[in-house]
Amino acid sequence: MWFFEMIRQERLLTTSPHRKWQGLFPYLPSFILILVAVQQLYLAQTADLSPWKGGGFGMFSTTDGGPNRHLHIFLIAPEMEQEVWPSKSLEDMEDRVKELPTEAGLSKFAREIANRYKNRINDLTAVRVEVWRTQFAAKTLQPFSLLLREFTLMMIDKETTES
Amino acid sequence: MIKRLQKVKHKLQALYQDLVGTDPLDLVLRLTLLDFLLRPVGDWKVRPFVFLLAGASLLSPRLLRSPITWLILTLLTGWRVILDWPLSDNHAYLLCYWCLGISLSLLMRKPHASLALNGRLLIGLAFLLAVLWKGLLSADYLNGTFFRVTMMTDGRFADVTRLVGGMSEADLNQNRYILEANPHDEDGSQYPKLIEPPAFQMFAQVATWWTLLTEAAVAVCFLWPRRGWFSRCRDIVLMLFCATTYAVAPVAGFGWLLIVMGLAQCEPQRKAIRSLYLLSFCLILFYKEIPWAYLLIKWS
Repeated sequence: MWFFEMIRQERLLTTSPHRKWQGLFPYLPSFILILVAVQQLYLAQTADLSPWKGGGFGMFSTTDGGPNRHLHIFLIAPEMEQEVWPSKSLEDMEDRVKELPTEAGLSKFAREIANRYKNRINDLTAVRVEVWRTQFAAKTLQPFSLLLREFTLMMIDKETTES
Repeated sequence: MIKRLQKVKHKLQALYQDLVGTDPLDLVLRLTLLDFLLRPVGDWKVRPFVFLLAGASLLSPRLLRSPITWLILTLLTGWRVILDWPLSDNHAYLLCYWCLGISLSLLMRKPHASLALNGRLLIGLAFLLAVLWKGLLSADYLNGTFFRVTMMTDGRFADVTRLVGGMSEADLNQNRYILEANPHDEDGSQYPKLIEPPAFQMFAQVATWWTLLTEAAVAVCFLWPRRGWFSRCRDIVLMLFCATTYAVAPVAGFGWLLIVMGLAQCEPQRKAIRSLYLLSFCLILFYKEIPWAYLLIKWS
């Protein structure tokens, strides 16, 4: 209740008697902050968005983010599975996928990888992208990896399909 | 000699009066622009325009007080957040909300009151969310894991870790190497032991709880009704948070923004508090520019 009391007090300061709607103007930035934060909370719980990102003020609250998230890319052909590392030009996309590994983002990233390797590996059948995070044991700080998301892009006659 | 000292004293007093006597709204707007210039935002698609507008507005009082200026800055900072989604730091979001708050406040009959409300709510809400993450949602904050890992792996904390935590450079490098291994091997039998001096463990615990408690105090004080006791403590609590946190945390841009928003909600008649806010702004500048921990290690 005290919060609403505070709002009421502040409104008296800012509301013009002639145009009452003006009194709501100053609350717009806070309203947007709350909306963005709710969305960030939702994405962090459902889509593995890093708590550090997304405007929810979760920075400096967890080791889950930045250098503790890592991506692994595998090119799959008959009787072959090879890990590759993305080139520098894909760094930006890689960072985005690591921080928010949505299906759409992983699919886009896998397509980029497939486009770069399909002419080099003739019988490329699939590209698998995995997003992992490093966790640390509470006492010893022993690091161990946890798979967050995995996406496989199937290649059919140089065309691609998702699975 | 005494005359000269008195002259210097008078000049310093005049400077103090200049700074503290400036119109509070102008001071807040100018410091926000200074934040833009000291901590550039975005990349080449946004930064030149922000520099140009922030620089011009610092020089021109008309631009400084124009809602259009701040609306453009809102759009530029918002555009940066959209372009970088989801990579932007929280500071980028807060800066965008703050610019929107300024542009809307400049349209109001009482811009200072409106800006004060924005400052209080934005600080209060940002800290409330930070406490929510640290205290409830994070699985590795309260047990101290976050600070133990971060102080050893984030190079920006290296000097403080060595100075306060009593960790040698060699131990720090070895620990970092172990922690950054990105292991896929689930077998922990080969895991080498980290070297964590007792002072380091204590430092990590103190940092964990101090940060959480001061952030909670800021959230409560800024969201409390204005007449309450908690509310009266808000300026001191925020400055205490900034003075301790930004000595260690390498995010000066965020610190400056908090100081500016704190200054905006400070009553104009509280000149002593306003001057303390200005000092805090300078203090964060010194923290950023002077590698104090490194110098202390070197001299000790």
